Amino acid sequence: MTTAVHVSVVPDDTLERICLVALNGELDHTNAERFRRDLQEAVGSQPSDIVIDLTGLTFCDSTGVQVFLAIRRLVHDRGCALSLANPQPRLSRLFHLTGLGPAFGLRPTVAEAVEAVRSGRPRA
Amino acid sequence: MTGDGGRHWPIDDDLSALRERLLRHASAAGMRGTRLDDLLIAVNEAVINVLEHGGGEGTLSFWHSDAFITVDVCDTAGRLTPRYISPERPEDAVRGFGLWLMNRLCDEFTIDRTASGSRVRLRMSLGPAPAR
Repeated sequence: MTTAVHVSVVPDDTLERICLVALNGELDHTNAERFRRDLQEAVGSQPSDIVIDLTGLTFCDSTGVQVFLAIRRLVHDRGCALSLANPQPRLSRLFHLTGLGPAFGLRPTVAEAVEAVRSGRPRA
Repeated sequence: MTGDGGRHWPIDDDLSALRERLLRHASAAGMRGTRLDDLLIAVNEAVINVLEHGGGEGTLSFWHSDAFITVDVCDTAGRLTPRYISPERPEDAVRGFGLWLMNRLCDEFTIDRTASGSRVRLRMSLGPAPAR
Protein backbone atom coordinates (compact mmCIF):
# COMPACT_ATOMS: atom_id res chain seq x y z
CA MET A 1 0.00 0.00 0.00
CA THR A 2 1.22 3.45 -0.78
CA THR A 3 0.02 6.78 0.47
CA ALA A 4 -1.52 9.16 -2.03
CA VAL A 5 -2.47 12.80 -2.31
CA HIS A 6 -5.23 13.61 -4.76
CA VAL A 7 -4.95 16.99 -6.42
CA SER A 8 -8.06 18.37 -8.10
CA VAL A 9 -8.82 21.70 -9.68
CA VAL A 10 -12.17 22.96 -8.44
CA PRO A 11 -14.13 24.68 -11.24
CA ASP A 12 -15.70 27.90 -9.99
CA ASP A 13 -16.83 30.62 -12.40
CA THR A 14 -17.01 33.19 -9.62
CA LEU A 15 -13.25 32.98 -9.09
CA GLU A 16 -11.87 35.31 -11.72
CA ARG A 17 -8.21 34.64 -12.39
CA ILE A 18 -7.92 32.45 -9.31
CA CYS A 19 -7.13 28.76 -9.57
CA LEU A 20 -8.67 26.79 -6.69
CA VAL A 21 -7.03 23.45 -5.99
CA ALA A 22 -8.29 20.91 -3.44
CA LEU A 23 -6.04 18.30 -1.80
CA ASN A 24 -7.11 15.00 -0.30
CA GLY A 25 -5.00 12.36 1.39
CA GLU A 26 -1.70 12.19 3.25
CA LEU A 27 1.39 14.01 2.02
CA ASP A 28 4.75 12.58 3.04
CA HIS A 29 8.25 11.64 1.92
CA THR A 30 6.99 8.69 -0.15
CA ASN A 31 4.69 10.74 -2.41
CA ALA A 32 6.06 14.31 -2.24
CA GLU A 33 7.75 14.18 -5.66
CA ARG A 34 4.62 12.85 -7.35
CA PHE A 35 2.58 15.48 -5.51
CA ARG A 36 4.91 18.24 -6.70
CA ARG A 37 4.37 17.22 -10.34
CA ASP A 38 0.58 16.88 -9.90
CA LEU A 39 0.34 20.25 -8.18
CA GLN A 40 2.47 21.98 -10.83
CA GLU A 41 0.24 20.49 -13.50
CA ALA A 42 -2.89 21.66 -11.68
CA VAL A 43 -1.46 25.14 -11.24
CA GLY A 44 -0.73 25.27 -14.99
CA SER A 45 1.72 27.30 -17.01
CA GLN A 46 -0.25 30.56 -17.07
CA PRO A 47 0.20 33.14 -14.33
CA SER A 48 -2.69 32.83 -11.92
CA ASP A 49 -3.34 33.40 -8.26
CA ILE A 50 -3.63 30.09 -6.43
CA VAL A 51 -5.80 29.04 -3.50
CA ILE A 52 -5.15 25.57 -2.10
CA ASP A 53 -7.92 24.01 -0.04
CA LEU A 54 -6.25 21.82 2.61
CA THR A 55 -9.51 20.55 4.16
CA GLY A 56 -8.95 16.97 2.99
CA LEU A 57 -5.22 16.80 3.70
CA THR A 58 -4.89 14.73 6.86
CA PHE A 59 -1.10 14.67 7.14
CA CYS A 60 1.91 16.63 5.91
CA ASP A 61 5.58 16.21 6.85
CA SER A 62 8.70 18.31 6.25
CA THR A 63 9.08 17.01 2.69
CA GLY A 64 5.51 18.18 2.01
CA VAL A 65 6.34 21.60 3.43
CA GLN A 66 9.26 21.78 0.99
CA VAL A 67 6.88 21.16 -1.93
CA PHE A 68 4.60 23.97 -0.73
CA LEU A 69 7.65 26.24 -0.52
CA ALA A 70 8.62 25.31 -4.10
CA ILE A 71 5.10 26.07 -5.36
CA ARG A 72 5.13 29.34 -3.45
CA ARG A 73 8.37 30.34 -5.24
CA LEU A 74 6.89 29.36 -8.61
CA VAL A 75 3.71 31.39 -8.02
CA HIS A 76 5.57 34.42 -6.67
CA ASP A 77 8.06 34.33 -9.56
CA ARG A 78 5.07 34.76 -11.87
CA GLY A 79 4.01 37.81 -9.90
CA CYS A 80 0.99 36.01 -8.44
CA ALA A 81 -0.26 35.24 -4.94
CA LEU A 82 -0.74 31.99 -3.05
CA SER A 83 -2.97 31.26 -0.09
CA LEU A 84 -3.52 27.98 1.73
CA ALA A 85 -6.92 27.45 3.36
CA ASN A 86 -8.46 25.47 6.21
CA PRO A 87 -5.63 23.26 7.48
CA GLN A 88 -6.55 20.48 9.90
CA PRO A 89 -5.15 20.92 13.44
CA ARG A 90 -2.19 18.65 12.71
CA LEU A 91 -1.18 20.78 9.73
CA SER A 92 -1.83 24.02 11.60
CA ARG A 93 0.57 22.78 14.23
CA LEU A 94 3.27 22.16 11.63
CA PHE A 95 2.79 25.57 9.99
CA HIS A 96 2.79 27.25 13.39
CA LEU A 97 5.99 25.51 14.52
CA THR A 98 7.79 26.19 11.29
CA GLY A 99 6.66 29.81 11.33
CA LEU A 100 5.55 29.45 7.72
CA GLY A 101 1.85 30.33 8.17
CA PRO A 102 2.27 33.95 7.04
CA ALA A 103 4.53 32.93 4.14
CA PHE A 104 1.77 30.67 2.85
CA GLY A 105 -0.98 33.24 3.40
CA LEU A 106 -2.67 30.70 5.65
CA ARG A 107 -6.41 31.34 6.18
CA PRO A 108 -9.13 29.46 8.09
CA THR A 109 -11.52 29.23 5.12
CA VAL A 110 -11.38 29.09 1.33
CA ALA A 111 -13.47 32.30 1.15
CA GLU A 112 -10.93 34.16 3.27
CA ALA A 113 -8.05 32.74 1.22
CA VAL A 114 -9.76 33.93 -1.98
CA GLU A 115 -10.18 37.36 -0.40
CA ALA A 116 -6.50 37.35 0.63
CA VAL A 117 -5.16 36.70 -2.88
CA ARG A 118 -7.66 39.20 -4.35
CA SER A 119 -6.45 41.89 -2.01
CA GLY A 120 -2.90 40.91 -2.95
CA ARG A 121 -1.75 41.48 0.59
CA PRO A 122 -1.29 38.14 2.32
CA ARG A 123 -1.49 38.71 6.08
CA ALA A 124 -0.54 36.53 9.01
CA MET B 1 4.31 0.52 37.30
CA THR B 2 2.35 -0.80 34.38
CA GLY B 3 3.34 -0.86 30.76
CA ASP B 4 3.77 -3.13 27.84
CA GLY B 5 6.82 -5.07 26.89
CA GLY B 6 7.44 -2.93 23.84
CA ARG B 7 6.82 -3.41 20.18
CA HIS B 8 9.23 -3.46 17.28
CA TRP B 9 8.37 -2.75 13.69
CA PRO B 10 10.63 -2.80 10.67
CA ILE B 11 10.78 0.55 8.88
CA ASP B 12 9.67 0.53 5.26
CA ASP B 13 8.15 3.07 2.90
CA ASP B 14 4.57 2.42 3.98
CA LEU B 15 4.57 5.48 6.21
CA SER B 16 0.80 5.64 6.32
CA ALA B 17 0.54 2.21 7.96
CA LEU B 18 3.34 3.09 10.35
CA ARG B 19 1.59 6.32 11.42
CA GLU B 20 -1.70 4.49 11.88
CA ARG B 21 0.02 1.90 14.10
CA LEU B 22 1.74 4.58 16.14
CA LEU B 23 -1.51 6.51 16.62
CA ARG B 24 -3.30 3.38 17.76
CA HIS B 25 -0.66 2.43 20.34
CA ALA B 26 -0.05 5.96 21.61
CA SER B 27 -3.81 6.52 21.99
CA ALA B 28 -4.12 3.26 23.89
CA ALA B 29 -1.32 4.46 26.20
CA GLY B 30 -3.37 7.58 26.97
CA MET B 31 -1.91 10.22 24.67
CA ARG B 32 -4.38 12.68 23.14
CA GLY B 33 -4.82 15.82 21.12
CA THR B 34 -1.94 18.11 20.20
CA ARG B 35 0.65 16.03 22.02
CA LEU B 36 -0.39 12.96 20.10
CA ASP B 37 -0.04 14.96 16.88
CA ASP B 38 3.37 16.20 18.05
CA LEU B 39 4.60 12.66 18.65
CA LEU B 40 3.20 11.56 15.29
CA ILE B 41 4.95 14.36 13.38
CA ALA B 42 8.24 13.76 15.25
CA VAL B 43 8.27 9.99 14.70
CA ASN B 44 7.42 10.46 11.03
CA GLU B 45 10.41 12.83 10.69
CA ALA B 46 12.71 10.31 12.39
CA VAL B 47 11.54 7.56 10.05
CA ILE B 48 11.96 9.59 6.87
CA ASN B 49 15.51 10.36 8.03
CA VAL B 50 16.13 6.60 8.01
CA LEU B 51 14.68 6.32 4.51
CA GLU B 52 16.60 9.33 3.21
CA HIS B 53 19.94 9.30 4.99
CA GLY B 54 20.02 6.24 7.27
CA GLY B 55 20.55 3.45 4.78
CA GLY B 56 16.83 2.92 4.16
CA GLU B 57 16.45 0.16 6.73
CA GLY B 58 15.78 0.24 10.41
CA THR B 59 13.49 -0.51 13.28
CA LEU B 60 10.91 1.46 15.20
CA SER B 61 10.42 0.44 18.82
CA PHE B 62 7.54 1.63 20.95
CA TRP B 63 6.94 1.14 24.63
CA HIS B 64 5.40 2.98 27.53
CA SER B 65 5.22 3.12 31.28
CA ASP B 66 2.80 5.09 33.46
CA ALA B 67 4.98 8.13 32.97
CA PHE B 68 6.32 8.08 29.41
CA ILE B 69 5.86 6.93 25.88
CA THR B 70 9.23 6.16 24.33
CA VAL B 71 9.88 5.62 20.64
CA ASP B 72 13.28 4.51 19.36
CA VAL B 73 14.01 4.86 15.67
CA CYS B 74 17.16 2.97 14.72
CA ASP B 75 18.96 2.95 11.38
CA THR B 76 21.76 0.76 10.06
CA ALA B 77 23.93 3.48 8.53
CA GLY B 78 25.02 5.12 11.78
CA ARG B 79 25.77 8.47 10.17
CA LEU B 80 23.40 10.48 12.36
CA THR B 81 25.07 12.26 15.27
CA PRO B 82 23.88 14.91 17.74
CA ARG B 83 25.93 17.60 15.98
CA TYR B 84 23.24 17.75 13.26
CA ILE B 85 20.69 19.10 15.74
CA SER B 86 20.11 22.79 15.10
CA PRO B 87 19.04 24.93 18.04
CA GLU B 88 17.60 27.50 15.62
CA ARG B 89 15.02 26.81 12.96
CA PRO B 90 16.87 26.09 9.69
CA GLU B 91 16.07 28.83 7.17
CA ASP B 92 15.65 26.72 4.07
CA ALA B 93 13.42 23.98 5.53
CA VAL B 94 15.68 21.34 4.04
CA ARG B 95 18.78 20.23 5.94
CA GLY B 96 18.31 19.60 9.63
CA PHE B 97 14.69 20.63 9.53
CA GLY B 98 13.32 17.27 10.66
CA LEU B 99 15.79 17.09 13.55
CA TRP B 100 14.89 20.61 14.61
CA LEU B 101 11.19 19.66 14.56
CA MET B 102 11.78 16.52 16.67
CA ASN B 103 13.66 18.61 19.19
CA ARG B 104 10.79 21.10 19.38
CA LEU B 105 7.99 18.54 19.50
CA CYS B 106 9.17 15.99 22.05
CA ASP B 107 9.85 16.23 25.78
CA GLU B 108 13.10 14.35 25.30
CA PHE B 109 15.07 13.91 22.12
CA THR B 110 18.43 12.18 21.96
CA ILE B 111 20.68 10.75 19.26
CA ASP B 112 23.06 7.93 20.13
CA ARG B 113 25.48 5.84 18.16
CA THR B 114 25.09 2.13 18.82
CA ALA B 115 27.03 -0.91 17.63
CA SER B 116 24.51 -1.41 14.84
CA GLY B 117 23.81 2.15 13.74
CA SER B 118 22.24 5.38 15.00
CA ARG B 119 19.37 5.60 17.42
CA VAL B 120 16.93 8.48 17.76
CA ARG B 121 14.99 8.36 21.01
CA LEU B 122 11.78 10.36 21.29
CA ARG B 123 10.02 10.52 24.62
CA MET B 124 6.73 12.12 25.65
CA SER B 125 5.45 12.46 29.18
CA LEU B 126 2.00 10.99 29.74
CA GLY B 127 1.33 13.44 32.56
CA PRO B 128 1.05 17.21 32.24
CA ALA B 129 3.40 18.61 29.61
CA PRO B 130 6.78 19.55 31.15
CA ALA B 131 7.71 23.21 30.90
CA ARG B 132 9.93 23.73 27.89
